[in-house]
Amino acid sequence: MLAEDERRAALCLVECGRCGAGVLAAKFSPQHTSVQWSAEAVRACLEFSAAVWLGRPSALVEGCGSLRDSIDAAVMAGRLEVTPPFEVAPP
Amino acid sequence: MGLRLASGWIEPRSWRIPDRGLRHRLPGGRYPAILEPDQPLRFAHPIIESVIYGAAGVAQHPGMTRLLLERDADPNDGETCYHAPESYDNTVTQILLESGKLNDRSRLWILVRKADWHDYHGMGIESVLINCHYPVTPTSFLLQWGAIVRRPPGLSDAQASRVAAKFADFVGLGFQQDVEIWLHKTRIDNPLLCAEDGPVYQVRRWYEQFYRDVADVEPDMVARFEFEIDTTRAVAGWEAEVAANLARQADAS
Repeated sequence: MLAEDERRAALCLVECGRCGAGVLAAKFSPQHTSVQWSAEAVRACLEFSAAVWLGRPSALVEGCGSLRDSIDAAVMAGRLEVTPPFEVAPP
Repeated sequence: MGLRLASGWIEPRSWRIPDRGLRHRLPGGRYPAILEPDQPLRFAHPIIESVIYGAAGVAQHPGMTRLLLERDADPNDGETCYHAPESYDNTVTQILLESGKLNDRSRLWILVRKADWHDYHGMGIESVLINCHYPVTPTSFLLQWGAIVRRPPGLSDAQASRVAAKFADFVGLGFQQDVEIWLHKTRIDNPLLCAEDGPVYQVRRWYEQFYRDVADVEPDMVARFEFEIDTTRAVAGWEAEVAANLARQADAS
């Protein structure tokens, strides 16, 4: 059983403006981006689907440009906050 | 025939080489200058280096490197070919390679250091590391590795094969050092991490899929996770600085 990370990221749902795939994103700084995909989101993603159709597994694709644009837009619109991970408050 | 490169003393400051920063940060004091092509350069502290190392490895001086090579200086001193590639200007490295004087070890050093140096503009060395470890018993795994190296220009088939084999040996050395560490440390299940430590728990969560039955693999172990640091801004700043340094170097010479 894995211990739990006591650092909590302010994960925020971001939907891709192109295909609607929903991921959990966090930005600890302007330069940093964490993206937690689900299997459903990977299947929904147009760019990954295009790679898979060409015979390239999505795991070998570095990332989705459309989703990155959507994450940038979410930051600009104030929907995704840039904040470092915080520790879980003691009980 | 003796060759006088400089007389008197070199101030430590003069070792600051444009576009390489203060890698040669020498302690305070004065240092005797170089006198003969193969005469050792002696510092106040016990470091003995050859003249060709000073010309090619430190000063990156094409004319002096060529002159010393013509006058029988030996570039296979373990330092010259290690440090010469540490620049975005590959002129001196090219002169060393074309001299025909380099042994396998020196050529390997050029390859390895060029790979370290992240040169995207000149004679960069491209390599891909292939790393595979899979469990063979509940308490052990088999570690395998390999490297693909794009052949640098000017090497024959035989030379290229030797260099590739040595590159793989070099990578192996790094892995064996890791193994030594693994054998002498234990896993901490809840390491105390700070915000900047990176996705250690996420890597562990991903790795959990490999030591269990396929039926027990949970979706979150295989779900795609990205962790990215965008270096565009940092790299743009770095490239501007390098370009300015190279321009200044060209003006000075």
